[in-house]
Formats: sequence, C-alpha cells, structure tokens
Amino acid sequence: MPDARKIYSTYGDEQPDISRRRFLKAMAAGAAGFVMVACAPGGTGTTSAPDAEGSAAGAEEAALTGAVLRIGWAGAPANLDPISASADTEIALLNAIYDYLVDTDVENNLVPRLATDWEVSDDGLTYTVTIAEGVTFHNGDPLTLDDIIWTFDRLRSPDTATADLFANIESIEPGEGNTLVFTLTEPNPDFMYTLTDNHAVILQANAENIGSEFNGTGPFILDSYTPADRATLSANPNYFQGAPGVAGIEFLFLGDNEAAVNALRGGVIDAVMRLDNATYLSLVDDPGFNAVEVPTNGHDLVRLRADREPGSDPLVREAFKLATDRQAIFDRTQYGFGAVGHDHPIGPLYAAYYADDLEPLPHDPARARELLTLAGYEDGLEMTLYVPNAPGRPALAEALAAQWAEAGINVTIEVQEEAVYYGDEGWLEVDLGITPWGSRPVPQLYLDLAYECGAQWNEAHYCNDDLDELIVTARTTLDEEERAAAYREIQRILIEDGPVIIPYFFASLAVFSPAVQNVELHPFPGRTNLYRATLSS
Amino acid sequence: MGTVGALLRELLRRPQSAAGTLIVLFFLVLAVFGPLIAPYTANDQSHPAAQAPSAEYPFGTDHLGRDVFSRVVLGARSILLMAGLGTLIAVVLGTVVGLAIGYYGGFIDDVVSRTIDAFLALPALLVALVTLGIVRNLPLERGTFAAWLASNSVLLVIALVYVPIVARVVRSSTLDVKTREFVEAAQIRGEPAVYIMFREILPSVVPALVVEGSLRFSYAIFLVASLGFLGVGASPPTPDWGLMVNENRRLYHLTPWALLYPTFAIALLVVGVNLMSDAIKRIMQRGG
Repeated sequence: MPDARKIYSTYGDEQPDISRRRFLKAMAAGAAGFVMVACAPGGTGTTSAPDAEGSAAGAEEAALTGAVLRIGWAGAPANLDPISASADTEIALLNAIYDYLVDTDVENNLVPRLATDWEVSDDGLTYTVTIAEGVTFHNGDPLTLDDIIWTFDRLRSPDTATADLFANIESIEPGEGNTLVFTLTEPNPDFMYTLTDNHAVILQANAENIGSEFNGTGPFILDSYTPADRATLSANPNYFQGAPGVAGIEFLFLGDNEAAVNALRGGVIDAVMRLDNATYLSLVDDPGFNAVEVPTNGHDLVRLRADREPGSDPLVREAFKLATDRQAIFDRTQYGFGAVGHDHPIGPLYAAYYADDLEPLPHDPARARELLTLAGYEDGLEMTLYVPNAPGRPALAEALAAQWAEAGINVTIEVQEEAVYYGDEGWLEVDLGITPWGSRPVPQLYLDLAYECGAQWNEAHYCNDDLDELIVTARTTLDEEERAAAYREIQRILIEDGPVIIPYFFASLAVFSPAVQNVELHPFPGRTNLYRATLSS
Repeated sequence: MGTVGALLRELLRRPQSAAGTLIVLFFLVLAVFGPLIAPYTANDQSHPAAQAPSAEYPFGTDHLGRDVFSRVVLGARSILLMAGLGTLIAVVLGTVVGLAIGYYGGFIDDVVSRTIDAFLALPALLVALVTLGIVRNLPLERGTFAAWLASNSVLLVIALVYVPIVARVVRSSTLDVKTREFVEAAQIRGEPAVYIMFREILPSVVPALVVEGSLRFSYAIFLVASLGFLGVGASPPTPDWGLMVNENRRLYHLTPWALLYPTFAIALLVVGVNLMSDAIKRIMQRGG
C-alpha cells in the first residue's frame, strides 16, 4: 500500500517510476515478440515474467502435461458473429479460433499472420498479399484463396457494419501462386491496417451458422461454450505456425473485475486481461503477480453535440475546453497510467503524426465564463451529462462536473447501464456524453468513423469543411510529408474548434500469475495472442 | 404532542434506548444543519487528493480531492429524507389499505390479502432493483409529472415495497379491534364506516403502527444504502453514503478512509434506529 500511495502522491510531470519500469518491460517484451513472430516461428519468445529463459522446454512440458491457461474476463460475449462482434471477450474468442490475415503488435507495427508478405504497387492501388501455405481449417479442409475472398465479400456486403471500412476495395482476385490481389478505388496508405480490423477473421467459404458454429484455422479449437459462463478450447495440433505452447485455454466470464481478481488470488485463473486502473493499482506491487501495463490510443471522449444549441456555438465549445483541467483529471482518475490528452484522437503513440507542441487550450474558468456570456448564456448552462456505467467513468463525470461548475456550466450526471447508453436514444443522440473509444492502430480509423461529416459514429454531429478536406487528404495521399502536415492541421482544428474533449489516453492493464509466460499484452486486450503462451509449474 | 415528550423521556431512561435515541438525534441534527456544519460543499475538488485523515481533513480526502468529512455530514440528509419519507408514505398508505380490508373483510379482503402475500414473497431489494431499472430508463420528457415521479423513484420504491407489510400488520390489529364493544356501539349509533375506521379503530392500532414504522425505517435505511451502493439510487456526485462506498471500494488500498467513514455512518445509524425501535416496542407493549 505505501508504494501504491507513492505512485499517486508523487505523480508530477513525468511518469512515476513504477509505471515507467513496467512500461519499459512491456515495450521490451513487445519488441522481442515482434522479432520472434516475424523471423523465428517456433522459437522461444518473450514473456511478461522476468525469467524468459528456458521457456521452450517449459512449453513442451506444458503441452505434454496438459496445462490449460485459464483467463478471467469481466463480462461475457454477447455476439460472436465476426461481422458485429466488438467486445474484448468476443474478439478474444474469435482471435483464438480464427486467424486474421495481419495482426498488429504493441507498437502498432504490422505483424504477419495468414498473410506472410505483401507488396504495394507504385500508384498505391494494388496490394499483392502472399498467403501462408499448408493452412487447414479445424474440420480438416485446406484454406483456399476462395475462403478469404468469400470472407471479405461478406464483410463488404452493403448494410453491414463493416461495409464502410472496406468500401474502398474494388476487387479481390487470386494472383500468381498463393497470392491475393486487392485492387482499390483510391490509394489508402493504411490499407494493410484495415485488414487487421477486429471483424476480419477468415471464415471458410459458405460457412453456415456463423456465430454459433466455429470452424477456423486458428491456434485453438472450441470444445464447448456456455454463454455467460465459460469457453473451453484445446490446442490445434496442426496449427500452421506450430502447435500452441499450452494444451488448451479456458476463458471464464465473470461478473466484474473484483470477481476476476479474487479468482486470480484464489488460483482459479491464471490471468485477468482487462483491468480498470483502481483494481490494477491494488495488484501492481504484489510480488505474487506480474502486472503488465501497455500504453494505448484508447481514450474517453467527452463530446458536445455540435449541430444544435448550445454546442453549435464555437464560443460554447471553447468555453467547455477552457473549463476543463485535463492534467488534474488524469492525475485523479488514471493514477499515472496512460497519457494526458489534447482534445484530438491523434495521441502520443502515433509518434510520426502527434504534434507535441500543439497544446490544448489552457485551464481558465474565468475566461470560459466570459465566453458563455458572449454566447448569450449570462446565467451559465444547465445540461445533463450522460455516462456509461463502466469502471472509472462516473468518476470522470464527477471531476468534469466540479471543474465546469467553476465556469458556470452546471451538469446533472446521468449514469446509464452500457446497454442503455449505446441504445437508440443514447450516445449518438444526447447533447453531452462520455464515450470510451478503444485503441486503434492508426489515427485515420478514428477520423473516418467519428470526425468526418456524416460518418457512421460522428456522435458529436460535427461538420467542418476544412477538416473533411484534410481527412480525405490524409486518407488518400501517398506522400508521407503531406500526410503528416494534414494530421497536424487536423489536430490544430480539433483543439481550437472541435466538439470533443479528450482528457487522457488510457493504458491497457493486465495481471498474470508468474506461471504464465510468453504473452505479449495487446493495447486491445482481446487481440492478445495466446498461442505462444506457456505455463511453468 | 405531550405524548411525544413523554415517549422521549421514556426512551432516555434506559442506557440502551438512550444511546439509540441520541444516535438518531445526532444524525437528525446533521441532516438539518449539515450544510452549516460541513466545511466544504459535496463536490468541492479543490483539495489535495487521497490525503489521510489529518487536523485539516478529519476523515481524509478521496481520490478526486473531496473532503470525506463534509461528504459524510452532508450525506445524512438524503438518506434520512429518503428512508424517512418513504417509510411515512408506506405507513400512511398501508394504514388506509389495512384498515379498509380489515374492517370490510370478505371478498375484498381475500383479493387484497392474497395480493399482499404474493408481494411479500418477493425480496424487497429485488422489487426495488427491477422497478428502478425500468423507471430509470424510460425516455421521459423533462418537466412532466412522470419525469418528476421518476426523479423521486427511490422514495416511491421504498413506499411501494413497504406498503404491503404495513397493511398486513394494520389489518391483523384491525381484525382484533373491530369485534370489541365500542366498535359495535359505534356501528349501532349508525356512524359512517370512515369515522369508525379512523376514529374508533385507528387509535387502538397506533401502538402496533409505531413499532412497525420504526422497524420499517431501519430497514429502509439499509435499502437506500444498498440501492446507492448498487448504483441505482442517487446519481453522482450526490454524497449518498451507499454511493460513496461503491465509488471507493475499488480504491480501498489507496483511500481506505473514504470507504470506512460512510460505511461506519450507515452502520451507526442503523444500530441507533434499531435500538430505538426496540425500546419503542417495549414501551408500547407495556403501555398497551
């Protein structure tokens, strides 16, 4: 406890020591993991545990003795059709049973999976993707190019949630040898990243009962699945990258993180992979566990509807930002994990594009009050702030309410169950809301989904012609300099005029028992690959 | 009102009931004068975060930098108001229903009593959770009567949960009393039924009602705290004790005081009310 409190009270301008240490460890693990996957399939890997050496022997031993890796999650899958699955628990199950063409690592680098190699034509319109040989589905059928084409045709079909993401694909044709040729309608430097999308697991052509029957090529085979309780998977001995390091995985779907942590302390499970800050903080210095922290681009988005009063007035939007003290919120709700936000989704992890020198508006409640008066709200504003009931979010709302009150913005906090918040009258409709956004490997995905005028999830209903032009430029240009310049201008516009406040980028937090090795925690916990994982006794 | 003074004197006579009464009075003072006693407002975050109790912050500060002492003091009002008013509504409605079915008997009594029995089979917390879950998520226009009801739903839910219990107690006392001679005399005089129920029967039911009311009150405090803890009661940043326990339970290792003091306040209030209600029961039984 003393150490935990130290983290908290000594937090200043830099990350606390403990946090930096964990961070470096995680990053080192990430880098090593990347090398391993890309160059040395079957070799020994990296680990979240300090003693990585000798884990290959451990892997064989574990597989022989039938060790099963048990992972606890707060929550349970609701929808397992890849086209609409989105929660960590859902993606974790799909990621174990199926394969993606391409993965991303902890630093957002592309990592080969079913696709072993890829080439881009000079005009940026043709991608030739080489597919691994000798891949078979769990039912014994070999993976063919037709299966992949069928999968993407399904994802591209109109009226699906993924149609927009893949709308840029003009055609997918078999190429020479075991290659696929993707032809695009306009250049997209992030195209390979769209193939890493959570929905894009490869199914067998003409698969039926998708979401209730699971025939993948992935490292684990589903043995049994009891909704809201558990999923039991066994290792796929014919996995094309070599048999997994454990005999099987068991996912336990528990009520909340406290239940999961209690199960971990009791030895019922080996890992919890999606912890909230407060719970993580109680375990971070426990020598009985390995606590792993990975910075992410995920953030909590405080957004004001910009298509009607009061948020349609730029002065009001500016007032909200001036009334917000991001550093105080970060210190008091994130406890030093993650990073302070600058009111745009292009965070510090996108090192090539992040404009560090563009500061957010300063904390100045007096000025905010003046702007509200100028905008015609002499008596201040009365609004309702809607917030989903997820760990830490009501606290963010309370912090905002206290800060905004100093500027004359008085909000009533309405905590809603997540199903209600994401329902029909919820996040896409309300004037003032807090929406957690998960980590994406490239910034363009946020801009396309939520910031372009008319975008599917533009929850603030914000439209800015200059911004839209820059978003298109960034999406299509092959000139890296032009792209960086566009992103810089986008950051400036969002800081000055945008309808959103991003107080922080959160970290992905997990706790493992020391027996678990060779797991590299992913910024999106559900995408953590477990096929190299081993269990030592 | 002389009877209230007499009751109070009676309560203060024995050490146990005196302790209970003083505890309840103490919290009543906090509820009434809380804003004058608390040094800061409930959501004032201008203090250093996660400070251990000290002379400046007697109960420490929470992770958002709020004075826990002020929040505990200010929290007395909402829990006493919710539990107290909820119990009062339940007692009034329950008395009317209980008197009516007890006095008239017959078919009405059968229907209502069986409905009450069915209701009593359901745990109070479950009924409250389901009702609040539905009411809270109705898309209601602001400013309408329905929206006003929804915003006071905790109060109404407590009343709803306890009306059947109170009605049952009043009914059985009524059955007892209505065969007595003075009731029969009133009936022969030709008094209207309402007069008989409220002027002849009710005074004899009052002792049982006071005992039942004080008991319901202590349960209601627990219910309000439970609903706050489960996140369906008061909205943040209300300094609701149950909500405070919920907000701080994950941070027990960082700010244990922010968890401990509201928990202690709930426990102390419930103990106080229970001691007092035991004493009231004893006095009423002796007096009756």
